[in-house]
Amino acid sequence: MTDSTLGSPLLRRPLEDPPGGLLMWIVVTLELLTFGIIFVLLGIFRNSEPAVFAAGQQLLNPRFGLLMTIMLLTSGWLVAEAVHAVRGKKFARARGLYVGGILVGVGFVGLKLYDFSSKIGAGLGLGDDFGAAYFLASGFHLLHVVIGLVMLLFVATRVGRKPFEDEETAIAGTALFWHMCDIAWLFLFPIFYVR
Amino acid sequence: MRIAAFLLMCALAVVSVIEARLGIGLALGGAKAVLIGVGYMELNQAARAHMAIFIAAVVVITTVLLLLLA
Repeated sequence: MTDSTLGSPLLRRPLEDPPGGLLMWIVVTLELLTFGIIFVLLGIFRNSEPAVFAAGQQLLNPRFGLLMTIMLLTSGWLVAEAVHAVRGKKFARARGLYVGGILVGVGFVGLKLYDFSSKIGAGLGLGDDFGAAYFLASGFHLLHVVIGLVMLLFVATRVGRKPFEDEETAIAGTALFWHMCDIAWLFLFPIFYVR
Repeated sequence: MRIAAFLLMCALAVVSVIEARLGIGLALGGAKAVLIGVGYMELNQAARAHMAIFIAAVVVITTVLLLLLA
């Protein structure tokens, strides 16, 4: 027995009714497949040109990468708690958690933009192999983070105030997309920052 | 459970930087991805097949990257 409404998540759902909605799981699966291909291509590049990759990595600060990782993990946790609060009909708490998650996510975007500008200032660019790999892969991830933030902002402004057409997809599905950004970063982080 | 998963993931991220070994970083990245899937993406409430497919996919991509890089 299952319940597809947001209010009763305690029992296991059938395969055709996953948490967050089937549509969002299809989107997230396709996105993760795309990221998976990017990781493998980065792996092949790192493996085939270790000297070029190692030289490029000298421009990256692992502690800065760690800070961005912890920011994304914090934002993901806050959004997971927000979904739980919505399921418990605690809308004011959910809005607070969404705001916290969004602010930390915006902080990540700010750090990433600072990171990009400092790397460009240090001479890294799309013209060299490492720069192209770094900017394209982390830029693709950053684009997803920005899209996720817009989705979270939309949900945060409406939750508990205006009904959603499909509440499961709006609340849990948006969170699903946000956690997908976390997962993608968790592989980009060691590939680029761990030497 | 969610806060425990969060704290564990932060600790694993710190360990991956301290250890500074790509193999460990990738393995810990895979472990964190599973924690996010099960805890935050609510796969602990999804069909068992759904959770199994997700975990298998994370294991496959982590293994492929480990074979390529570590």
